[in-house]
Amino acid sequence: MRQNERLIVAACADTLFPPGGPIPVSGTEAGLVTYIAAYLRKLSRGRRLLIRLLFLFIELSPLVFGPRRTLFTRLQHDDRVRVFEQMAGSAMYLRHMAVLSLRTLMTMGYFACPEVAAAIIRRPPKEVTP
Amino acid sequence: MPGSRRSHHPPSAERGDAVNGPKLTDMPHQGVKVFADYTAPLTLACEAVVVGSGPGGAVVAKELAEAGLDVILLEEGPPFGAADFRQDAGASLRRTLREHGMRAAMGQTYMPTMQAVALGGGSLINSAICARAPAFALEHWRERTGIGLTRAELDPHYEKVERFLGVEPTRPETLGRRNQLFKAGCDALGISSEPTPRNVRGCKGSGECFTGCRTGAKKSTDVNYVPAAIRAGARVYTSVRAERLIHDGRAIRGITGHVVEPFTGRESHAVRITAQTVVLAAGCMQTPVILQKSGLGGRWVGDELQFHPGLALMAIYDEPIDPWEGATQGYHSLHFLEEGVKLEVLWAPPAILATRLPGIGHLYQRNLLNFDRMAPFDVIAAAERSRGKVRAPLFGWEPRISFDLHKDDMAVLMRGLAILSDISWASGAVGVLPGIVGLPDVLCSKEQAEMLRRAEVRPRDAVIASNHAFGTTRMSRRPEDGVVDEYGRHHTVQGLYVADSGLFVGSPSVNPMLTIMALADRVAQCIAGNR
Ligand SMILES: Cc1cc2nc3c(=O)[nH]c(=O)nc-3n(C[C@H](O)[C@H](O)[C@H](O)COP(=O)(O)OP(=O)(O)OC[C@H]3O[C@@H](n4cnc5c(N)ncnc54)[C@H](O)[C@@H]3O)c2cc1C
Ligand code: SF4
Repeated sequence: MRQNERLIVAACADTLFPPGGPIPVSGTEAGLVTYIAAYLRKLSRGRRLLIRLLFLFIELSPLVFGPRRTLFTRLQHDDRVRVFEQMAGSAMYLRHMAVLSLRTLMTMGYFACPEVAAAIIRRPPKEVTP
Repeated sequence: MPGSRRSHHPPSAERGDAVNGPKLTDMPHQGVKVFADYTAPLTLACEAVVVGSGPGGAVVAKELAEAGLDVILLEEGPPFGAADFRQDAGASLRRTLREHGMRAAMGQTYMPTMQAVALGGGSLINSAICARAPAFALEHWRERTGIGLTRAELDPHYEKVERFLGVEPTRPETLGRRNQLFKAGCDALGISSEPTPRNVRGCKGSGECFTGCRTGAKKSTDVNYVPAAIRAGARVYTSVRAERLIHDGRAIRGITGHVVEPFTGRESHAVRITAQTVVLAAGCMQTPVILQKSGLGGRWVGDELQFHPGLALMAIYDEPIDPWEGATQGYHSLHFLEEGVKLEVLWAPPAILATRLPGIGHLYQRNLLNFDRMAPFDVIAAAERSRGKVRAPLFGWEPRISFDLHKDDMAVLMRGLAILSDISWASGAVGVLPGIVGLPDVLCSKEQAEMLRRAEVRPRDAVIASNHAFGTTRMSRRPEDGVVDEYGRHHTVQGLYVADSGLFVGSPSVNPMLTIMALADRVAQCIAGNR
């Protein structure tokens, strides 16, 4: 992943899962940047390109739709939250799907962090043995 | 014995991706050829080559081998043993599914659809629900293309497959609260429901069917039909992609393809197999691609793609119910089947389901902390008015898939969602997450939830997905109306058969696997009888 993509992923990660919240692990602390980088590495070229375009779409989105005409990574946290909220409720299908896809990717990575999984799945199923 | 006894460890495509295979004490894949076994181009001959080891292909391979035919089974994916399954949803999707789990049908909406690429096909990662298609569904098939197939005719095949798989209703001790609450809601409303019949033995109710059964309880085709085929003398080659049929327009001569590396799909050695019989069971998305790329893309090939689109809601309870406990989809209701509605308890990797919880930031995290109080229920619709297409791509082998959900079928889905909401309230839910754009994130009372009945919801407003796909090489009495006859025989090319969900002439009204297997059994009987 390129450096600018790492910044976008980190910004998205901490917008969805900010520090100091009810789950005491933020998106970046949960290792989302590393998770996504590893995930991308193992995808086929075509799929990787699609996900890269998704990050670019998010980064450029505020320039077109606000709330401030700047890059996503340059926004303050509250404005980033607004970007995602607007996308989620958008009548434009592409924007709506973009945030849904991002959410899926990020949530998979968030759950892959053992501390996060332990906070959510408080009484895990008994370990299965073959 | 033609099948190799070598280890079946393919080389790791990338670090961490190695398929380790099962323990020595449990070797269901013994004799299966894997990527590491191929050191030169493969040139083989046999009587019958079967493409695809999912529910359709595995049945045909076993039955033909047991009938004494010299059989080769080709599978593009690798074998997975218990130790190869990953609990991380991202890793699991990427390793076991086509297009890394990102396959979607495009139309007026983007509809994710998953197909496995593994020994066992969809049976490896599905919920193991085994349901017989009701007589009325097969009656519709007959009306549509004039085939003579009846439920009475299919019943002996259903029985045979069920017996071999060991299908039994989900046991009470493995249900968990999620399944029990669905039953309680149905009971309170007088809606009939039942534990799902499944091909499992000794299920521990771990809810991990989607990422692969680590306990070995699920009886997917890679651990029963494929080993039985090998015992009867079949040769099984994984990591081999069948690509083009060898034919002269009248008779089949064999098939060509390539060895492909697991997980990356990189091509290596060429493969050429000569055979008098070729059975395509690559799934209803891949079989049309092979036909089209082989110059056999007639009028119906790839057309008439149908799905069971699905919609889900989350019921919220006021106390923890630990939804991750219990059989993956342990309960369902067939009460509204004739209206095109099937209701089910849903489960998938928690990370995938959690995506549906509302909120961004701290609100999302708070909702995640309440995940232990939620149960997902889903409706699948027969969607008989909706159609799509599968087309071979210009380059590569992944099909282009289109699908449009008819507005009346969308209305059926919404009706199902409203009934699921009723079931939720009747089971003691204190809230419902409908997951529909334009409606409140949380419905807080039964009265408020009545809006599900009035709302005009477009497919784009909902997260619709479907893993039941069929109909792209349908059966018909006359060649003008379909691709194959009711025994899976290609209408024009002698020796060519289809035995996957592409055979369906319409919705089976219930989950498709058992019907695919029963039809495949019938196809095999026909081939063996024609020798
Ligand atoms: C998550 C999930 C849950 C499901 N749950 C249920 C359930 O509980 N009950 C139920 O009835 N149904 C369920 N289904 C649907 C069911 O699994 C499928 O309908 C079924 O597997 C289809 O069988 P098939 O033989 O037609 O194709 P597949 O299962 O797709 O098998 C086709 C096989 O062919 C291989 N192949 C494809 N192309 C080639 C090629 N060119 N060369 C060589 N090999 C090739 C594929 O890798 C695959 O292994 C579920 C599906 C999914 C994805
Ligand atoms: S619920 Fe768990 S133990 Fe039971 S079949 Fe599915 S994965 Fe295996």
